[in-house]
Amino acid sequence: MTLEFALKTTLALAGISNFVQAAELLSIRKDWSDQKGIWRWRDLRQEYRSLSPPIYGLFTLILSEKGFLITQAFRIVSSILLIACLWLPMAQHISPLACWITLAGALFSAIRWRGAFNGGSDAMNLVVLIPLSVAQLFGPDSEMAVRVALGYIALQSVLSYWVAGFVKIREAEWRQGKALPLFLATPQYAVPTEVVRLIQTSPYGAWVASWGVMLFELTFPVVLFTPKWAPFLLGIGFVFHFANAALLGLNRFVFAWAATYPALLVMGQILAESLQPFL
Amino acid sequence: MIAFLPPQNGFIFVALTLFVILFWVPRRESNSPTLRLFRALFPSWRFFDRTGEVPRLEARRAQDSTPQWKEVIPPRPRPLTAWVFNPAGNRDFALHTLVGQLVSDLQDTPDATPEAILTTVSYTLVKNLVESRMPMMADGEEYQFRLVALGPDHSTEEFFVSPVETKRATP
Repeated sequence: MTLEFALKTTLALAGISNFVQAAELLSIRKDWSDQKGIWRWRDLRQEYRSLSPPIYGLFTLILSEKGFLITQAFRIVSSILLIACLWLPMAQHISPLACWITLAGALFSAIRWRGAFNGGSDAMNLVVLIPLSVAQLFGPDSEMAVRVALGYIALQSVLSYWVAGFVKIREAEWRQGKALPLFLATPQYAVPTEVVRLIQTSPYGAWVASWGVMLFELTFPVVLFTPKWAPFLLGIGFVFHFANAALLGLNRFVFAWAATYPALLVMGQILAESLQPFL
Repeated sequence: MIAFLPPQNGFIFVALTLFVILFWVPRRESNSPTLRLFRALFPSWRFFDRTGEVPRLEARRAQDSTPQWKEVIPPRPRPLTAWVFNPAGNRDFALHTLVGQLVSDLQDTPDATPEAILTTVSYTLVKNLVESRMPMMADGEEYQFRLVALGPDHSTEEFFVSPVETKRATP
């Protein structure tokens, strides 16, 4: 995989991720409408009053219902452009603006929901968009900027799995296979009752699944050092996120994390090439 | 190993080391509401680490002769398409986060007067939530909501009951 192709693929996958997120927000517009919504700007705005008047004015313009509607509509269009950059001949001229508009849409939606609409997926989406947007400022020929951007994305992706595995293995309930059934039974995830019953009635299965999750997450950094096996490991990662989406409803994580995979592939290659003379 | 690597790749190892060091530094939740607005910029990646009690929001109409508490955000079955497009499910996650924010506000200000809690943004938004989810409730009708801690063993313990509120007229 070339650096240029990795960049284009990352942009396209980030486009898909942001398209889904913006479309979901637009489809629940009644929940954030200024008239009958739950997250009305006139209720939210008191938390923003400590900001300086120009920033507060900007936020009022963007985060009130009409402004937010326009922001998310722009985010949808810019996301489509990021996807189209895979094929468009003038991609290098379009992608910087599309990237910054998408980033603004994503950042403002996190801010409007008092920090995050959907926790981890919002964070990973920004982890991908921020370095990509900054790298685009250095012009289309800046290989170093692209390298740094994709390196940062790959690092955060690896860390996200490893940290998630590490905090689990520290807990006795996870090591004993007791935590997973409890999380799956948490009402807010609305896991199908058959699945909850199955895992609650088979402690051995719960133990195997728990250790499977922990070992997968803890060993994920291997992906950077085994380029030949990387596609296989990333395939497991995709299945893992798909299972989370199907069981827990975490669909946004599938797209947000998939957008980091091209960076992992290309960084694995670069590392292998760099280390080859010493091995 | 860094010394052997070409300079453009050495940064990866430096950054990795920095990230690992940062991970070991104990994290503290910021009490600044302004900083909290930007928390998505500071990822933590600590998913599903500890089990424990989860808060559940319940509400009842004050005028019913035998008012029953009802869950405000009941779990709902997911359509098959939800693994791609899940607006209702993600909205419900955001609602659970909102309830968690009210719980945090209650914990952060244990000595606050009840009036102080009632003027927080979290309380106002939870009121909006209850009013939008209580079926057939007319403008001006009275209701109450409460927070219950739901334990892993399905035990429940009430820890907050709102004063009687009145449904506001929608503009």
